[in-house]
Amino acid sequence: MVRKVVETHGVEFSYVGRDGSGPGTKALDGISLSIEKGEFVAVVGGNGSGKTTFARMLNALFEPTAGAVFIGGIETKDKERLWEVRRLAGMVFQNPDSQIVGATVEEDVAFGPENLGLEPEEIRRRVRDALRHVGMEEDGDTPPHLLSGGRKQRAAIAGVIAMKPACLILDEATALQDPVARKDIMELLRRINREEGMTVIHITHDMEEAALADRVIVMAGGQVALDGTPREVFSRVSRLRELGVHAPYVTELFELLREEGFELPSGVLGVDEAASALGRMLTGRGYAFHTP
Amino acid sequence: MATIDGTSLDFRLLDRLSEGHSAIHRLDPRAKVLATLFFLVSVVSFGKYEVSALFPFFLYPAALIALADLPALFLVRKTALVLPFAAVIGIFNPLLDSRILLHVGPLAISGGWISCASIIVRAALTVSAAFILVSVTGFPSICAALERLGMPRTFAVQLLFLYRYIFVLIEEGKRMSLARELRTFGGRGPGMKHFGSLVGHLLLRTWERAERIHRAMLARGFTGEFHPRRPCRFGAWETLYLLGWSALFLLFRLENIPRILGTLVAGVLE
Repeated sequence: MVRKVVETHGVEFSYVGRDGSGPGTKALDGISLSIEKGEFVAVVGGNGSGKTTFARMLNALFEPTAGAVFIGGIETKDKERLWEVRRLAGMVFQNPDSQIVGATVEEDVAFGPENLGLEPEEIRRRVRDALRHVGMEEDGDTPPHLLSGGRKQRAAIAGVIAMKPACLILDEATALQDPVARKDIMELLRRINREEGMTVIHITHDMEEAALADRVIVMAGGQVALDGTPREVFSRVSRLRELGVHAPYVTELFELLREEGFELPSGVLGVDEAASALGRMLTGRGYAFHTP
Repeated sequence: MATIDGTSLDFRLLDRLSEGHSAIHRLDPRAKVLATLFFLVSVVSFGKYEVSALFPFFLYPAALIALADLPALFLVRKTALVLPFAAVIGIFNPLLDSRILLHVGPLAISGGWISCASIIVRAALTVSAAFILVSVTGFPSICAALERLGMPRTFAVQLLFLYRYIFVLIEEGKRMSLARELRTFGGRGPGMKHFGSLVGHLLLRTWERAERIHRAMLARGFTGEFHPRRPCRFGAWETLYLLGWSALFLLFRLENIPRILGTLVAGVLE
């Protein structure tokens, strides 16, 4: 069993120049990393940092101009095994309207398994299971355009998990969603990751979402600038600012308080953790503090 | 005046109708495609002055609407929208062909008027048959059937993409039209002057969106082949359906049924 789901070695990628004559801007510049089975990785970075290019590289939508990408041990350049790479690296895009091809939810979820050439009975089973996973068992016959944005994105996720990928890549899949739908999708991803052991690579601009991952990769200028647990990465607030991204708001707030001289820990990630840290500080100063 | 929203809804309704469960819906798409093809060939093979001989062919759309439980009014309305285009084709016939061919009481009818009527009747028959075929089969299944009947896959896939991207074009058109309305205060402001630029933008936006859709399809293992949802099996029912309709179309083509009926009725009355 291959433990490393994703492995990249010195990956470079340049878009074609504006006049079409030669290489243009270098979108990826020497990316070398590996992602293990069952990891939940958040990839963050400013606009133009190379996040989306990196995601498309993993699904073999783009081919590296230098270096190599391996998905489940298969090199993405291997044309003979392209369909296997695409099955292993399932991709969910930002706008669900751009990825739905079926006239009904069920038909759309079946699109991937049908392309894999599965038997009709197996396709039906996978569609049923995928819809159950995303909580849309009752929506099989619904035309996708009648669904809300959040449910459309759930249907798109179902369409990918029906292909039983080794890793689920989400390219800013929560960006167009309202806060409730974002929270819903994040809970769904965490559940798929925990219960199915599916590797999740979540590309996002939302640092609160990134803080929920096991590992955070910060990209800048087509390179990996920071890589570690959310606590390790987000405790480097000033470095993040240099890279054009910010830490979760609560982490930033605590950093500002620390700069003002308050004795608070760095790398605080959530509201509960922040409340406990504040409680400890206030109790230490002789104040009574009760968390609700 | 047809709106972009209305067009989009009509396309989606045709898609929804194809998900029905009637006996006609369940038939192998190849049988339905071939029967429609025979129907079209029979209808267009008549001479330009034939009108009465075409009327028995209305049995085909009427029977399918009844058997497949399709919304007759919707289909009649959709067909009627196309007829003005057919009328435009035939409108000059009365001027070009003034030879009197028929007398109805004191009224002398020229060949031009008859050929114009023939064009309109044929348009009504062929367009309604096409709408009905899409309503009982679904566009992806029609393309799959055409491919299985020997059409090169490239053409079948092109047709499917064309169909998929019509929705993309409509959606982008809707967005642009709304954005324009909001900034021109109900249609005032720059009009035709900017029409060319708008169409250009629409093309570029549709193109970009179509590329995103294609990428998403590739990401889900699409290799240039669509798979119809219903299993295909050309069995006894399909053979019966195809032979039955073909025999009827042949009969309608070879014999002028209204004339025979007219003669019979006249004979009885005499």
